[in-house]
Amino acid sequence: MATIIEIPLRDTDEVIELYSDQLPDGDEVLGILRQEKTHLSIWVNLALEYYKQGKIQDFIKVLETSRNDANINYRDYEKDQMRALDMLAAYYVQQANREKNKDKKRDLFTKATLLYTTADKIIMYDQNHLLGRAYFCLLEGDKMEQADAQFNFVLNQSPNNIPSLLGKACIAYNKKDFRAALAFYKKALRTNPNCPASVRLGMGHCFIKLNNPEKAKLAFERALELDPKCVGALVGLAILKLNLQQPDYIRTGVQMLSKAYTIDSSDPMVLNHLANHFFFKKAAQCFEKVLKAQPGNYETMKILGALYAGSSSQSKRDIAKVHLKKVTDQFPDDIEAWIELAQILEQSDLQASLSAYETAMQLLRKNVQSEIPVEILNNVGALQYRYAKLKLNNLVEAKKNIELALNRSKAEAAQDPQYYNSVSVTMTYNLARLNEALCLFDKSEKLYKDILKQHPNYVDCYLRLGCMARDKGHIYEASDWYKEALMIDKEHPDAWSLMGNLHLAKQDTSNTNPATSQDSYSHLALGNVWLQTLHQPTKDKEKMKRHQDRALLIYKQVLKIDPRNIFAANGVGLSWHIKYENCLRKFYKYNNVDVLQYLARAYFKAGKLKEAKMVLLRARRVAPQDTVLLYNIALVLQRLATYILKDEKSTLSTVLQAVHELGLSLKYFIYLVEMGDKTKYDVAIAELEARQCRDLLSQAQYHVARARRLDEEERIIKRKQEEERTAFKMRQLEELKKLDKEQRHNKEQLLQKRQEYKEKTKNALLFLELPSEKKGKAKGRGRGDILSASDSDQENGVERPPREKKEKKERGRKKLKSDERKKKSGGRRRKEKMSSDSEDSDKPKTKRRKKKEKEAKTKVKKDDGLSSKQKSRIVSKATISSSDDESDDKHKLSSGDESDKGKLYT
Amino acid sequence: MSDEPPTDYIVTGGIDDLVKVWELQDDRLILKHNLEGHSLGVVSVAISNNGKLCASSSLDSSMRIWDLEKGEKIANVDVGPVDLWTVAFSPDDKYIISGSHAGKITSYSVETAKAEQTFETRGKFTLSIAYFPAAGLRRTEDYCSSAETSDFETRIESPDGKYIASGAIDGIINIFDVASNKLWHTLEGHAMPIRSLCFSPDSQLLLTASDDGHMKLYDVQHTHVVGTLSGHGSWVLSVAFSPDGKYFVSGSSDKTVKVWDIASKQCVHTFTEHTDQVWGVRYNPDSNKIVSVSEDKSINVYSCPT
Repeated sequence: MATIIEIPLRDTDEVIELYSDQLPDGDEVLGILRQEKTHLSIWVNLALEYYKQGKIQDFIKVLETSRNDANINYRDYEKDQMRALDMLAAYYVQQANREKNKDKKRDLFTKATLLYTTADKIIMYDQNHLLGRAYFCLLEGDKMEQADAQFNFVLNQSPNNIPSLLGKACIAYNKKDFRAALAFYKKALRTNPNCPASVRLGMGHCFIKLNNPEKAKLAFERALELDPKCVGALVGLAILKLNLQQPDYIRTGVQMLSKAYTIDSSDPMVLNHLANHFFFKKAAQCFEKVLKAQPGNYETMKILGALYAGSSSQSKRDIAKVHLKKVTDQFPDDIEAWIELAQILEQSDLQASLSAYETAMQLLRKNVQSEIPVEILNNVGALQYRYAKLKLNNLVEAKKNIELALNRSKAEAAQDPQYYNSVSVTMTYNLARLNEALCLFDKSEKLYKDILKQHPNYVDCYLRLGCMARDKGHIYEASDWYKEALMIDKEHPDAWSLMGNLHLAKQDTSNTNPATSQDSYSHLALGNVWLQTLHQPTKDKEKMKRHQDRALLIYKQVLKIDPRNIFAANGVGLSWHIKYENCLRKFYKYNNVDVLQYLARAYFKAGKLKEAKMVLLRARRVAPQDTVLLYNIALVLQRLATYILKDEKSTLSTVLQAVHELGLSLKYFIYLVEMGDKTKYDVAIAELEARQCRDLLSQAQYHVARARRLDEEERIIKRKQEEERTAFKMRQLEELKKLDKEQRHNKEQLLQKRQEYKEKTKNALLFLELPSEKKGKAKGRGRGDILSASDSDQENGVERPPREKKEKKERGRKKLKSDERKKKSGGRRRKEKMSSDSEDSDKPKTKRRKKKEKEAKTKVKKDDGLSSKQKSRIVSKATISSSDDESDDKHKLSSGDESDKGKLYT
Repeated sequence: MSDEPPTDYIVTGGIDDLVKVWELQDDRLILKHNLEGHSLGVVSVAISNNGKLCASSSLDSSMRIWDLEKGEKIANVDVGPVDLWTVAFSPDDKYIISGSHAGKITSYSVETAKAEQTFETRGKFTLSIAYFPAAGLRRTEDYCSSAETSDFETRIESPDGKYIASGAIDGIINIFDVASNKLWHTLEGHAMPIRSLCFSPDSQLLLTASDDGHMKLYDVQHTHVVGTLSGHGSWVLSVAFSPDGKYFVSGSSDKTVKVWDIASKQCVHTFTEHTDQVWGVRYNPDSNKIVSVSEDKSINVYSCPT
């Protein structure tokens, strides 16, 4: 049933007929309207037609243009003007009501107000205008009185004006004057029996409030008859049923609520506003009630979860989470529930959310066999990115998902270009971020620029491009990007803080613009400023302390606002000079010269000069141009050298190295004095340090000489000990040879004796046989005998290598002891003991040595206790014990070393 | 020596002041020489083109020249506190070049161990340096690397080194004409320190590595950027071409070693074995092995069939 709109042609009687069902493009129509100087009334009619067809863009365009371009040279044009203004204003009010974003809402309200005010100036008391204003006041909240007055004004003029009656009813209802509200509704109904369902709905609500459930039920049912999709009526009926507290009714109630919920979950219609308000509040209560009656009711939990999920309060969202988890536990195939759960978990638990999404995606693939919605892919990708930021993995996975989502949305763009295009922009941005995280900067840069080509207002892209330029060191380019961002949004806090940090990096502290007071990033930047001033050379300790406190305070403040801000924690760490190592490992992937410097300083203060030196060298390897670093290295080298030179135990090589490094330190200080970079270090102090180096160097020769002397002495001692040791070895070797010879000799003798004895006794053959078997044994025993009873004193004396002064003394003693030798078990062993004794007399005995000796003794004793069969092993044992001796000897050497050192010290 | 089968030498320098000469035999590194004498840590090592000499520089701004075969010191060069950084041999092995704090590049005679020629850039600290042209690395005698605290430059085969390229701490690249002792070109590609640069074996490309995490390939003749490669998560500390000219390798503070295909300008492989930043990377003369040294005190040798 297309209506026809006629546009009269100028200066003729002809008209252009536009069929409402084939309205041309807005711009085309505008062209005609302008050209033909068409009356405003036609403009308005056209706009209305556009609105009815949902062509909102054209609707707005026509109305906006009409204000300046339409022909108003006809009678009563004001009325049309009013219509145009009011229509547009009403549209904005409607939009504002739907809008959830507070800022945008305010904007829309402002636009509407502006239009209404303009209209006020034309015909203040136009009925429709007043009504529009009244509804506007109603929706804006807090202006109910004003709205009421306007409705009254209209009603005075035309007592049966239905919109005014409904408005009044609404106001009365809100004021809890349900009777009055009911009266208004009834009046409206009387005036126009074909009223929309919402009137019945309102009446139903009033009846409920007036404790008349029967009539309420009737009203709701009638409303539903008129409009089967009337959510409010459904809810009202459901509530009524639920209130009956009977399982059957409850079930139907729940079904109704579910139906209501599926019909309209979020989009409140303007006139249904109030009803909807009740819906959300009441519904939640009802569902709770149902749940109490039937714990574990699947649908209820799901709806309740969905309801609470949209809530702004954290506790409600937690409840939603619990409900949804239960739902997914009971019905692991419910995709919707999984998605709801994933969405709610996004804010709190990334990992859980991810796995919920995974499940949903699997279900989608498996059960429904449908493609996964691009939104989900994108969300999963974004989540993986956020998660990866914490854990440093699955970035690649995230990228895959987003790329998939992007491709799909491009494919589906044909269906709903506007929506999919807007989605794909977000996804492209996400993809760019991911590429950036994967260090594929070239790709991400291209993506950001692509986005900006289509959407030049995408502030985040400018910021990211700026950050990337900054990281590359292109400070001016970065600054340009940030400025672009600020041109679009003058109050963008991130842009300001980034800009501030940039200035900071350029040491241009005066330009840092504090953004918002609660913004952690800008606080951080400020903290950094103080910390930096802290490290500039100042003589005023008070001032330094103050700066440090200030920096700390600010960092702490940041931590309070944002407890997970690692940079702030880092800052605290810095100003405390602790845990730098951790700092370095955790927060910096590469050589951060500043942190290395702080670490070196910490080592330096702790007296760990060598570590400090190493750290500084690492830093210098990275930043060879840094004069502060050079200064620090020079200082540490000097201190280290001083320490080494003072330590009289230092070996020649370390002393020589220290002197060399002292020379380097001097070289550095002289260079630094020449450079005279006053902003970074105190030149005067550098000069002092240089002098100190010179002084130390002048003494160095003494230290070197001392070390050399010490070295030489040590070397002499070492040589001596080496000689002694070799001599001892030789002696032992000879001894061993002698012993062997002796043994052989004795054996021969013994054999001979035995032969003689045999010949002498000439006993039975049987007896002869036996000894032959015993021979080995006898031999062994004989050997043992020889060992114990050996009498070759002279030979022993010869064996002994010349022993300098001690010789005589020892000899004397030996002689004394040699008398007792017969009684003692092993000459060899005894001699060994003696020799060590003699050495002991010169050097302090150590407990360890004693022990060793004891061990040796017991070993020898054991040897003695061996059965004759094992005697054959004795020779080898002897070598073992001699090797023991060697180790003993070594030990002696080292202990001798120490005692010698001690001597020099005194 | 020439009759002997070729051996692969690896020379490393560390913060422990030692320059070590290694031989690679049957996939095992055998320490051949321990060259002592540096102090404050070795910055850079370089092997001469004939494979006989090795130059090393340390943070105490002294340079030493060694006989590789005998493992003996030949010369010692001591200069001002900030006048020496990375070292590189000239193609004829007669000179060793090094950058310094004011962007000045000094050429030292190997024979006399004295400074002979200087190139002024009036720029910032010169971090990296390379001789041009770097014609085909035909010698199979050695390939080299730098350890923990050292990085160093390409080796050059062509007898007449015409140009020297240097990368500075402010990201500026200077190219000198050696014969006329004049600055030939200044390239502004990076804004952050360039810690390594090298010429491709066919001398057509100059590759630079910077702290901005990017690498750039320049056309040497026309001095324009051919490509920018990104993929490292942190500073790029060392780059080297494969002698066959098909690939190059990069080492970074992000602990990875990446192999890049020059034709497609894409990363073809990433090694993640190191546990700390990778200071030096090199190819062997056959282009089938890569050696990398890292702050984790390890030397890794990778085989990379092409």
